[in-house]
Amino acid sequence: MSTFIYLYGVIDSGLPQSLGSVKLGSLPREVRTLPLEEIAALVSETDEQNFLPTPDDVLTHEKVLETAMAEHTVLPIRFGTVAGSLEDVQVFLKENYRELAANLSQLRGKVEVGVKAFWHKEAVRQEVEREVGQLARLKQELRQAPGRQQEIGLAVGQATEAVIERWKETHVQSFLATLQEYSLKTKINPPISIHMLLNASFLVERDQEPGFRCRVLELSQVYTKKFGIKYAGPLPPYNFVDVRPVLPQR
Amino acid sequence: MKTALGTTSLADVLDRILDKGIVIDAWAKVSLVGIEILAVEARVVVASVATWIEYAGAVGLLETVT
Repeated sequence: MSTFIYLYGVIDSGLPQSLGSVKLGSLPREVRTLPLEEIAALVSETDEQNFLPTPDDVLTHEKVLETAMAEHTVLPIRFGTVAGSLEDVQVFLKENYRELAANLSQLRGKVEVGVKAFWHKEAVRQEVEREVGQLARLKQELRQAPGRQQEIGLAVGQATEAVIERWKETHVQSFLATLQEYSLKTKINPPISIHMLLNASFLVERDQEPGFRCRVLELSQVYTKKFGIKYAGPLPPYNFVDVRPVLPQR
Repeated sequence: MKTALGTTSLADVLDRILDKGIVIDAWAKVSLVGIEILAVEARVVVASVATWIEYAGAVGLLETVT
C-alpha cells in the first residue's frame, strides 16, 4: 500500500520533532515536522489520498495547528492537502522557501481572532413590525390562507432583509471601524448564515490579544440589544497567510 | 458575548479551514471536489425568493420554514 503525506501547515522551526499522535482518517497517526533549514512542514503519514471534511478530521487538522501555535509561528495549509511522498514535501519547501520564511517572519508573535455578529430575532422583528406593521395579523391570515405564503412571506422577508442590510451599513460598520483601530489587519468574509451580520477576522499581537478581547467585550455591550457577538481566538492565522506556492512541472 | 479559546464550533472551523490557508492546487484537486460543494452549500447567500422566505421565517412569520 502506498503511503501519502498529509500536510497541516508550515512552522518556523528547523528541528525534527514529534507533536504526538492524533486520529486522522481511520487510524491514529503521528504528527511530526519535516524540516528544511529554518522552517518545517507539519505532516502525518497516511494511506488515504482523499479527505472529505468529516467533523473528526476537520477538528484534528485544527487541533494540530492550535497545538503547534503554542510554541511556533504557524502558516496553516488548507484542509485536505495530501502529497504523494516526503520528497514532494521537500520540493514544496525548497521551491517556496523564501516566500514561506518571509510570511512566517511577518506573522511572528501575532495571532488571528474571529469576531462574528448575529442579529437578535426579537430586535429585528420589532423593527420589521414598525415598518411592515401587523405581523401578528399577517400570521393569522397566513394560517387561514396558506396559499398566500409566498406573497406574504416575500413582503416580510424583503422588509427583514432591508432592516438587516441597514444595520450592516450603520451599527456593524461603526463596531468594525473601532476594532480595526485596535488590530494590525482585518479581513471581512461573507456571512455564513442569514443570521450573521458580520464575519470578520483580525490579526493582533499575541500579547495584546487579551486586551483586544476586552475591547470587543466592552463594545459588544453598546450593541447588546441589537446583536450578539461570538469571539474565537487565539487562532492560527488562516486569513493572513500570503503564500502562493509553486511546484516544478513534471 | 460568547467567547471561545481556540477551537469553536464545527461550522466556525469549517469556515476557516476549507478555503483559507496555503492552497497547493496540484495536491488538493481530488479532495477539493467534495470540499467545494460543501463550502458552497454552507454559504449560499443569494438574494432570491428562497432567501426572502427564509428571512420571513427567521422573524417568526413562517414557522414551517425556520
